[in-house]
Formats: sequence, structure tokens, C-alpha cells
Amino acid sequence: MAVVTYFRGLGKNIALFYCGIIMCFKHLLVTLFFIFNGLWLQAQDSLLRSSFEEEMAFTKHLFKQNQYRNVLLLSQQLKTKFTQSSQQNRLAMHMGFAHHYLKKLDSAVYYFNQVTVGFSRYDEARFYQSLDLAKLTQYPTATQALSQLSVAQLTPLKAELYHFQLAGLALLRKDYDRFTQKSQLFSYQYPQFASQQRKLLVLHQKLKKIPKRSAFVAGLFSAIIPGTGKMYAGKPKQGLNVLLQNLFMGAQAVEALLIDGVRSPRFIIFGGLFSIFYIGNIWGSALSVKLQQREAYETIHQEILFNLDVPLRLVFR
Amino acid sequence: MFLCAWCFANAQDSLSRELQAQKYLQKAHQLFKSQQLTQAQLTYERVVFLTKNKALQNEALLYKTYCHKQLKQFSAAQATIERAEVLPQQDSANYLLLYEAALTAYLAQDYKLSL
Repeated sequence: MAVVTYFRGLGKNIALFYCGIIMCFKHLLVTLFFIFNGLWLQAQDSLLRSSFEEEMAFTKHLFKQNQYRNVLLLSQQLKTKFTQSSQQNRLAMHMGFAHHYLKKLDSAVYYFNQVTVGFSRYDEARFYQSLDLAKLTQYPTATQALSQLSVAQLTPLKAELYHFQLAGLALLRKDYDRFTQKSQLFSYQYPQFASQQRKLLVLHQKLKKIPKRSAFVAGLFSAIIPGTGKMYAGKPKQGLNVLLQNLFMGAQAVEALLIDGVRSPRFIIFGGLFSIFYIGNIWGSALSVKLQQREAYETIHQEILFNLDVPLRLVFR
Repeated sequence: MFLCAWCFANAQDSLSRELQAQKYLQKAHQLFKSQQLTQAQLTYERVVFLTKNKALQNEALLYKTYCHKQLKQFSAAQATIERAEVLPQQDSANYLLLYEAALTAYLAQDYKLSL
């Protein structure tokens, strides 16, 4: 009897033991399920989360594809996500260049200006900021932006580039003394911009050769003899053309005056036409002097800007 | 052993990139469906960047073209579809690509190319 009772108790205990194991296993399975589910979700999430370097590689790809608007879109999103100083600087550089290539120069200047001292590409940002300001014809600000760089800390190549850019800016400002002072520092030893340095000297000579004509003198010449104002402005063929037109109109008016008198409709018509041509010619001569000079300066300024742009691409390639 | 480790790491990296590309493609499709087209075209571009699978790249480029078309950026749409490669034994996909290339060229007023 006692043996039977003992075995019954033992059986109960074994059953309880197995029940316990099964329950534990169940709990374990549920716990493992939750852990794996969490890990799986995290893994899925991390697949869509990329590091800063991966984002930079993607940005580089966008630059290669000339997708500058996408660079701006991505950089704007990354700016709130990656807040370290170096990361912000790199993003500012990318946004500056995207705007630079999109020819939105004022925005490019804004982002290049955000690059802080101590960042490895600080000098590049200042050079490009200065160039874009020069393209916006803000020459004093462009000089200031470049002057933020410390020449002592630049490599010899970049120091020469610094003097070259300042010389170019002086030329754009028509500050020829400053240009001469800066151009004396040219060594012409860097193939990246030696030819541009020589070109600046040629452009300097061209700028000096642009004759300084007065709009008043051109108007006065035209008033005395119609067409001579245009000849003075450097357009002899146009001047001759205007002279012949005015002579023809004047002759018609004089003929009408002598034959039909002052009150005749013929004299009024030809006299009126001659007056319009005569006064128009005086105004036109004065204006053409100004336009001629502006065109000459504009052409040379574009050449200077082009010569300042190319070395930056070659040096910071 | 080092070579094996390098090969293994490389394989793992490219596998992870392909997985990422698949995930981004799903996300891009969701954005496309919800008409967030600017964000969708950027995400499709990311798929092109991540994957080396030409078929997947073509799919992403095709949908990116659809985004640009809906945004009325026809020149961008044309430039995008021209990056797709016609693959052998994929007639239906190739038909879609060539059709879109002709249509976007027409929309971008490049009539000679559309012919």
C-alpha cells in the first residue's frame, strides 16, 4: 500500500516537473519570438538608416550625375540629421557647390560663408565665395572674403593662387596700382594657372588702352557737324551714314524753305524730320560713347572672370 | 585566410547594399503612390546608386522618369530614361523603356530623337 502511495506521489511529481518544463519552454518560446521580432524590425529599420559617409557617397554620385537640385534636397534633409560641426561644414560645402553649378550665386555665397575656420576645405570655400561675389560684381566684398585667409597657413601653390585672385579682383575694380603690386608676386611656376597669370597682364594692357571718351564732347561734335560724334565714339561708318542722312534731310528742308517759304507744309514736314534726325543724332552719339565703353569693359571683365575661374577648378580638383 | 576574410566582407557588403536597394525601392514606391514625387525620385536615384542589378536599376529609372513626367520636368525625364540599359531577353521591360524614351523626347521637344 505504502509502495503504491509512494509511486503515485512520484508520478504526480514527475508530471508536475514536466508540466513546469513545458510551461517554461512556452514562456521561452514567447520571449524568443518577441526578441527576434524586435531584432528583425530593427534590422529592417537599420537597412533604411545610412551613415553620414554613405550619404556623402550618395551625394558624390548625385554630383557626378549633375543632379544639383537633388544634392540640395538631400543636403537639406541631412542638415537636421547630422549636427556635428564637420558634418555641417561638409553639407554647407555641398550646398554651396550645388548652387554654384546651378548659377544661383547669391545662395552659393551664403553657403560657402557658413563654412567655419578649422574645416579642412575652409580655404576652398573662401576662394569660391570670393569668385562668386566677383561674378555678382561685388568686388570689395569679394576681396574681403579672400582676405579672411591667412597666407602664412596656405601652401605655396595656394598662396600664389591667393595673390593671383587678388590681382584679378584689383583689375576688376580698375585699381591698376594694386594690380601691378600683386602681379609682381607672380612666379609663373605653377602650370595650373601660369598661362592665366600672363593673360591677366595682357588684359591689364587692354584695359589701359580703352580710350576714355566723353559723352559731352561726342554730343558737342554731333551738334556742330552731325555724324562726327559717332566717329568720335569709334564708329566711323555709322557716323558717315548719319552725316549723309542729315545732309539729305537738311538739303530738302533748305530747298523747301527757299522755294515754298516758312509756312509751307513741305518745309514744315522736311524741317520737322531734319530736326528729329539732328537732335536724335546728338543724343545717340552721347549714348553710344557710354555704351561703347561699357561693352569694352564688360568683354574684358568676362575674360578676367573666366581666367579666375579656371585655376580654382584645377587647384581644387 | 586574409583574402577569404576580405572576399567574405566584400560579399556581405554587396549583399547588404542589394538588400538596402530593395528596401529603398519599396519605400520609393510608397512615396510614388502617395504622390510625394520629389522625394520619390530621389529615393529611386538612391536605388540606382545602391544596386548593381541592371534590371532593378532599370525599374528605378523607369519610375523616376514617371515622377519627372508628373512634375512636368520633361528634360530631366528624358535624361533619366536615357540612362536605362536595354537588356537582352526582357522584351516587355525593353518595350516600356523604349516607349518612355520616345515619349519623353517628344515631351522635351526633341522631336528628331523621338522618331
